[in-house]
Amino acid sequence: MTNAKKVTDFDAFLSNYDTTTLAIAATFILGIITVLIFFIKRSTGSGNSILFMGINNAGKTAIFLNLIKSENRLTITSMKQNEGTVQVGGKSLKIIDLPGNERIRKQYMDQFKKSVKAVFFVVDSFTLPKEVKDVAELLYDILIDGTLTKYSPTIVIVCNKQDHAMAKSSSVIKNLLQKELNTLRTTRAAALDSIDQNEKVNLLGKKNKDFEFSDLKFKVEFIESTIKDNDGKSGLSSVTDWLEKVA
Amino acid sequence: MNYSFSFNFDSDFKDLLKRVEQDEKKKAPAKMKAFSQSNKAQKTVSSMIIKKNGVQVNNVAPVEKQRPNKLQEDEMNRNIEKMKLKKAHRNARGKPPGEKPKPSQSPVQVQEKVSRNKSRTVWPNEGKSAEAGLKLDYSGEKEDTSQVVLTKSEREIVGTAGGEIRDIGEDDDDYDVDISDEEINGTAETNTKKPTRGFFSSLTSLIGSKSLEEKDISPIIGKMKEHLISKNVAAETAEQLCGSVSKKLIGKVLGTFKTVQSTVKEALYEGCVQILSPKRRVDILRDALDARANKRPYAIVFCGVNGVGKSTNLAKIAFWLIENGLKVSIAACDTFRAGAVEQLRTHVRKLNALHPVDKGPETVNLFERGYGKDPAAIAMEAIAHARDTHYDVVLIDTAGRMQDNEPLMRALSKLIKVNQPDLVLFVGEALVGNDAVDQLMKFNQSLADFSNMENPRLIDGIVLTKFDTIDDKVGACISMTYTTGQPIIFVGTGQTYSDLKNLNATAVVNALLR
Repeated sequence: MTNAKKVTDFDAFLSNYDTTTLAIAATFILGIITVLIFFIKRSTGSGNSILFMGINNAGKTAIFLNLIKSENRLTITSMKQNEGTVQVGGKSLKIIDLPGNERIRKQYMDQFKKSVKAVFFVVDSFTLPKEVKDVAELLYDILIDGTLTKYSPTIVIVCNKQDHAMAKSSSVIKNLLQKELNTLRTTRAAALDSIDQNEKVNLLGKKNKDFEFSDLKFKVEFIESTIKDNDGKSGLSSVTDWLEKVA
Repeated sequence: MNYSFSFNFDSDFKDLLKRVEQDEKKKAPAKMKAFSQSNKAQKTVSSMIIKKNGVQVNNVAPVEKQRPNKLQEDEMNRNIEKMKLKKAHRNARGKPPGEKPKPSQSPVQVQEKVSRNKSRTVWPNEGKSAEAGLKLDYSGEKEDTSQVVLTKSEREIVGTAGGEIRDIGEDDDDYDVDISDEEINGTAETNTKKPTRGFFSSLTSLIGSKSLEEKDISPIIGKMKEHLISKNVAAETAEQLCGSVSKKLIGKVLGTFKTVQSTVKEALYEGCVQILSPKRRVDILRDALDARANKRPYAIVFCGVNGVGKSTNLAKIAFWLIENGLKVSIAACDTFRAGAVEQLRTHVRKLNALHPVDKGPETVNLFERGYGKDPAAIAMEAIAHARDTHYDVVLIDTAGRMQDNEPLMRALSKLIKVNQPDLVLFVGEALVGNDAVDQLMKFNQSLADFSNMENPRLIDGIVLTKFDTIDDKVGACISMTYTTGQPIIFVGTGQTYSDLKNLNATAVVNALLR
C-alpha cells in the first residue's frame, strides 16, 4: 500500500457518490441550522402579547371581539384561544383571549405565559360575590406561577359588566379578592418543602401580614368596564387606555 | 517507504494456537462427582441429630456404603465408654451419698418423665368462660393516650403536612413518547416508495403539509391503544380515548416539522391531561373553613369495595386536616366487619397522641355506636354530635361493599341521601385494571337508582390508594376519571400518615405515555 494508492481510493470513494447526495447533505445541514434558530427564537419569547384571562362567562371573548372587530356579538364558551392584533396609539398589539373553562385553562396558560406583556384579568362584577372562590383561585394560580413571576407583567383586573345595576365597584371587588386571597394562601400556599418538586412554592404577599395587592411584585391595577356604550362613550375606553399604557 | 513489509506473524500465531489447543484437549475437564461420592451424601438427617450423651451417630446413615474402617470404629467405641464413665461419675457426685447412681438411664426415659409433668398450656385470651370473654372484649375500652408509644419517625411527621397537599413528583423534562417508535416507523416506511433514500423521504414528510386520513393514523392509534392497555388503562376506556383522538385528528392538516406519530402522541397527551384536570374547584380546606364560618361540620363520606384502604386513607386525611388546624370527628359507620371500630380507635388514639391538647375537647374524636347498627343513623348522629361539640370536619367511614351487592348498595345510597354530605369520595386502588370502570359505574348507578331523588348525590371525587405499588402502570387514574368525570383528589402513596399526595396530571400522563 502506498500513499498514492490511498489518494486514488479517496477519488474512487468520491466518484461512487454523485453530487446530488452532497447537495442534499448540505441542504440538510442548512435545514438543521434553520430549525435551531427557529427554536432558539421561540424559546426566548418575544413578550409582546396581551393575555385575556378569567373564569367562564366573565366576558373575555366579548371584550376581545369588541377590541378587534368593534362589534357586539353573542358569545359561547371558548374551547381554544382567540388571537388577533389591535392598533393602539400607532403600535400593533397581539391580543390572545384564553378559554376560561377549568379543564383546559391551565394548559393554555402554560402554552402562552412565556410571551406575555400584560395580563388582563376579566371579572364579572355582578356575580363576583358568588364566584369569588373560583375567581380568587385562578388569580392565585396566576400570581403564584413561576414563569409569570419571573417576567412579572402588569396585571390589569378588568371589572366587567358595570352596566348591570347590581354590579360591584372596583374597590369592593378589590377588597373581596384581597380577603379571599388571604384565606387561600393559608389553605394552599403553606406547603413548605416538597421532595420531588424542583420549584419551591413561594408565599403570596408578605409574611405575618394580611394579603394586599400592593405587596406583590406585580403591578396590579383595577379598572371598570362594560361592552355597552353609555352616552356615546365606549365602555371599554378604560381598557384601551391601559392597552396604550402597556404597549 | 514500503508499507508492504510485515512480520510473518500469522503462521507463528497459528502454530501457537494449535499447540495450546492440543494441550487443553489432553487435560480432560474435571468429572463431576456423583452425589453418593460427595460429603453431603454422608450426612443424613438422623446423623445430624445429637444424642443426649453427646455422640453423633454416623453409622446409621442409610446411603453409606463403606463401613468406617476398624480403627476409627474402635476409637469411637472407646470414646463412648469414656463419656459414659464420666457421666456416671458426675451423677454420683451430684446426688446425695445414699442414693445409687443410675448410669444406665437412657435419654428416652428422661424425656418421658418430663412429658408426664407437662401442664396444659393456657393461652392468654382463650375465650371459654364468661370472664375470659370479658377479657377479650375490647369494645368498651377507654382510650388511654399515655399508653400510645410513638416511634421517632412518627413524631417527626408532625407539622409536616401543613398547607396544600403536595404533588407527586413531576419531572420537568419534555414528555418524550418512545413507545414502539421503530415499529411505527417500520409501518410508515413500507408505505413510502423510496426506502433507500431514508432521510430524503423523511425530509419531505417533515415539510410537506397534508391533511391526515384515517389510514395514516389508524396503525399508530392501534399501537397507542395497546400501549395504554399495557399501562393498565381499562380496555373500554382505551378504546374510547383512542377513538376520540383519531376523530379529532382526521382532516387536520399536518403542521410543519411534524410527523404523523408525533401529532398523534401530542393529541393523546393533551387528551389525557384534559381528562385528569378537574372540571371544578377542588379545595377541601377552603370549603371546610367556609363550613366552619357557617357553624356546621363539613361531612365527607368514604365508600368503596372491600380492602382498598378506606379506613387507612381516612386516617391520613384526618392527619392532614388536623395539621391544618381543623378538629376532626370520625364516624365509625362500618358496623359490619369485625375490628373496624377498633382499627379506627387505634388511629384516633395515635392521632391524639401526635397532636395533644392542653384542655378542652381532643383534636380527633371517634363517634361509635358498636356493631350491627344502621350506618345511616350513626352518621346522622355523628354529624349532629359534631355540630354540638364544634368539630369542623366529620369523616364517615363506611363498610366495604362489592358493587354488585344490591342490599349493601341500597344501604349506602340511604346513608348519602339521608345525611347529604358535602363530599362523597370513592376510594379505589391503583392496582385495579378493567374492574375500575365497572366499580365506578355501578357505584354511581346505584347511588342514582336507589335514592329516589330527582338530583341524586353521586360520587364527587376519587381517592386513589396504593399508588406506590404500581410503578408506571398508572392507567387506573385515566380509567377512573374518564368513567366518572370526577377528579382524583387524594393519592395514597404509603403506610404512614404523611403519605398522602396530590395528583399531578402532567406527571401521570408522562408516566403513562413513557
